[in-house]
Amino acid sequence: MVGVLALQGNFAEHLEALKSAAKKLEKIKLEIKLVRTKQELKELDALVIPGGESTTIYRLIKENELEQEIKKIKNFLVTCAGLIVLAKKVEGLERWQKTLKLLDIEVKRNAYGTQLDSFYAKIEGEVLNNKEVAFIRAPKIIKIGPEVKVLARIKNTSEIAIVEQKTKNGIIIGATCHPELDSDELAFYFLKKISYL
Amino acid sequence: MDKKYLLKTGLAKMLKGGVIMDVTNAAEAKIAQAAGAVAVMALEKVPADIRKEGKVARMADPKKIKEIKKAVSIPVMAKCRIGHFVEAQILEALEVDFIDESEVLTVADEEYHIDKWKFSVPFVCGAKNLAQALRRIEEGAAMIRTKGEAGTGNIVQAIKHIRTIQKEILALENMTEKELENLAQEYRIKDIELLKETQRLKRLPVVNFAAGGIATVADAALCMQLGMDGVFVGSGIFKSSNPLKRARAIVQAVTHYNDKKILAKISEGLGKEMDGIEIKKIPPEQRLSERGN
Repeated sequence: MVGVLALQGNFAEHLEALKSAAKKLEKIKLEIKLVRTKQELKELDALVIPGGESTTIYRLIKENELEQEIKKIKNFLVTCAGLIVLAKKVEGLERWQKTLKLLDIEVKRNAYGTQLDSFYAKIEGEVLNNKEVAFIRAPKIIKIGPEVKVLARIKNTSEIAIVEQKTKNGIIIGATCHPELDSDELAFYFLKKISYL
Repeated sequence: MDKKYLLKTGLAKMLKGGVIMDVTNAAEAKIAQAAGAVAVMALEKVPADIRKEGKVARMADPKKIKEIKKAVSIPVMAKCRIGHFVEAQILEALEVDFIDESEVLTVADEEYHIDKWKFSVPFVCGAKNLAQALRRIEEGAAMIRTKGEAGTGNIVQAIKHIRTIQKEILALENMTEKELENLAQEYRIKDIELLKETQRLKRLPVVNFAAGGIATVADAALCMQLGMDGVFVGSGIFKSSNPLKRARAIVQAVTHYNDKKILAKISEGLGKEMDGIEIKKIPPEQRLSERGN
């Protein structure tokens, strides 16, 4: 079962992208649903953490005591705010804000500036090659750990857009951008990966 | 579609399931952020005080907006007067993340709203019916705020307008092309595609928050159960007796709006809510939600 963490953010777009991707994986039966409580997190094989505000999502994880249950899940797909929520180290966190430290990367929050600095850019790599994706008040990945592989960079730059990390019994895929706004390609890549693990 | 517009509606989508809180200084902005607000609205005065004073209300002092921007890392919104495109230009120069062309401030232009396509910053606008909402979207708004009666702590107008828009969207269901063309004319919108998209989606084609009069956990959850994507809370937080606690509870309410047990738990012991005003006691010409057409 795949859950989309529906505390705050663009969880509806993620749900839509996942459902569309799941249809293309005919042979594999997947249940996909929105989750908000400890109980709902218990049955999951994978969790998607959407874009939104990382401060808000962190606050809601804390107040609903979800951290331990989230940490038990094997596979993750996280974008933007979700990436910050899982990152090991973050520059620009609020004093009271913590992260779950599951993804071995260092991230800078709001690295490009305000909404006026949001942009579309072509990315290149193993997924979404040559596709334009939205970077909205996006974070920047400034360092990656030895177990982390770069899946895509912003075209003609060294800037990392999407990463993948193998964990003990699963994978984490993280993006600084929002592929889910325009396509189901990253959702498809993720579902395919976790189906054959 | 136009990528610049998609970035605007994209940010609006990231705000969904969230609470946008009115703040008037850095300290309030920090409380709002710590409570879990997805954005703050930088203001000179909250609507309850604007209402009490009854003076011309304008865009906030840039100094205030800068102070609030410096205090938080979440998006900062600011209000300009309806039709006042120079206030909007100034807000864009200040690099706010969203501009609210708002009826809470005094109207600057009785005939025209701002041509929002000329800006790179996204706009949110108020609407009390489908015609207003679609006109605002046609002018370039990336998000709609269903108008309530700001500064009253009374949810009745917000609910009325949420229901009005819903009824008008439902009425589109079996309309023919010709009927939609006639309606577009009646609604004073040029692009019939906008009506067709609304008909197909069975909702507004942009993110739609509720605003005006939200004072409690139950108010916020009511708006969400009626299909809103999130809420604005103005005077309801900082005019209550325990702003941080109430703000935190309303943030939870917007996430768990469908879970009555959680709502019961988080509603408990929040202290005194803001004083409310009976709408009938406000003469129609003093109702903020009647401003801007």
